Amino acid sequence: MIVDSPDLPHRLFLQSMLARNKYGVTGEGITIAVIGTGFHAKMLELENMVEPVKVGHKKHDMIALNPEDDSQDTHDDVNAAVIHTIAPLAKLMNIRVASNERGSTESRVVKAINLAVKHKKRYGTPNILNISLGVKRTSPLSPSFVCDGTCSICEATNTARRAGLLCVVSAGNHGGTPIRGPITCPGASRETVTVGAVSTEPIATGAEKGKYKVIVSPYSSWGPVQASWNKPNMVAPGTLPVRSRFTFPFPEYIPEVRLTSTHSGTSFATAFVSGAAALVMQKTDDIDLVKNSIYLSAEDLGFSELAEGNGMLNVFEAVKFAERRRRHFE
Amino acid sequence: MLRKKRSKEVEMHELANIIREYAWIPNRKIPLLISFKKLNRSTISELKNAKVDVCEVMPDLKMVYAEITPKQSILDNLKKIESIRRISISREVEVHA
Repeated sequence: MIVDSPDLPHRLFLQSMLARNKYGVTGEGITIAVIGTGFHAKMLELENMVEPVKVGHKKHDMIALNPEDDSQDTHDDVNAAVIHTIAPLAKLMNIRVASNERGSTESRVVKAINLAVKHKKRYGTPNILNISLGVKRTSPLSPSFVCDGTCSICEATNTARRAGLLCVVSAGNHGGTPIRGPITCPGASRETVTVGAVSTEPIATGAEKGKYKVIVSPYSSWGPVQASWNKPNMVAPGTLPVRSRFTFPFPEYIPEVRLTSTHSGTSFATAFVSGAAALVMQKTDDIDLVKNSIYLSAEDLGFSELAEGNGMLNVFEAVKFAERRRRHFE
Repeated sequence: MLRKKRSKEVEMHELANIIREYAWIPNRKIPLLISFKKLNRSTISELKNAKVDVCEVMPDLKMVYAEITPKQSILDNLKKIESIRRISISREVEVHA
């Protein structure tokens, strides 16, 4: 796919605006649980968008299953900002399980998923889980081993899906290793929407000189997994230039975010898909239809299915697909 | 069914290797995530009888977060509990940034 501008995030922001204008989708009534390093709602000025987590009789703006706090802007600050930009009225649930530097443990992530499932059963929210971390299952003894989707963390996401939650998970940043891949868990699970990353490279010669080619980012993990399904499911922009926020043509919708450097990783791609899923979910409650809308409207980049899955996210087309299907069934 | 059974065997084998590797470190405990076919009070007491430290019970996921001291005898006890579907080690998770 050839594009005029290298700013892919900007392209998706515009698509979400188009969807908002034509179909009136803003993510209202949808809650996304952001499971990761935790975001600073006050710094991002997103305090009104945070849905408190109810535990017993108490309400918590943030659940911290990880005792360490990185006081700098965390990785989930960017994720929360991206989700808010795509789906401005979607509520965010803040669950911290990891720190930027030290990562986390599998048990904490499983506890967070358990918390979300419990919350969903009692109070009906969240609707979407945004999980931007994972476990690499390979070891020096078995470098080619990839999970078959039955490990504990994959099983936890399967249970979450059965409870009515859509799990959007990053594929992993292991594309550059000598053995391509692997997809990290819970990305290997059948029920998750596993997202890889894309970026652009300039075309130096030929008729398309001066334009940009969309490529699967070199760091993005490749499939397959040891199962009968294909992973990753799709790709979205993973490199987030700071300036993309400030060239946005509708200044009233820009969230006040202070990003200090360029961010890249499959995590940020996940946030785009979560935001898009929130918009689609406003049109339909059926999670399978949400998944199909996102998959079938994705743009083919011409890469292997093991790298790009169904293709690159198209927010507008996904909402349009869901709206048409809904009308068809009505 | 056969595939799940086999994967449980693989995990057990892996656990046995880890136990051999870490048994010499004093006070070392191995964090485990144990998933069950059925999870109720009797299964928790079965775990406790097998000398497993149950840290957190997650009934919605039918899972238990537990810790064991690296002893082969504990692993043998765990093998005998029929309601266990899968045992895996709680590994490190990386942030994809």
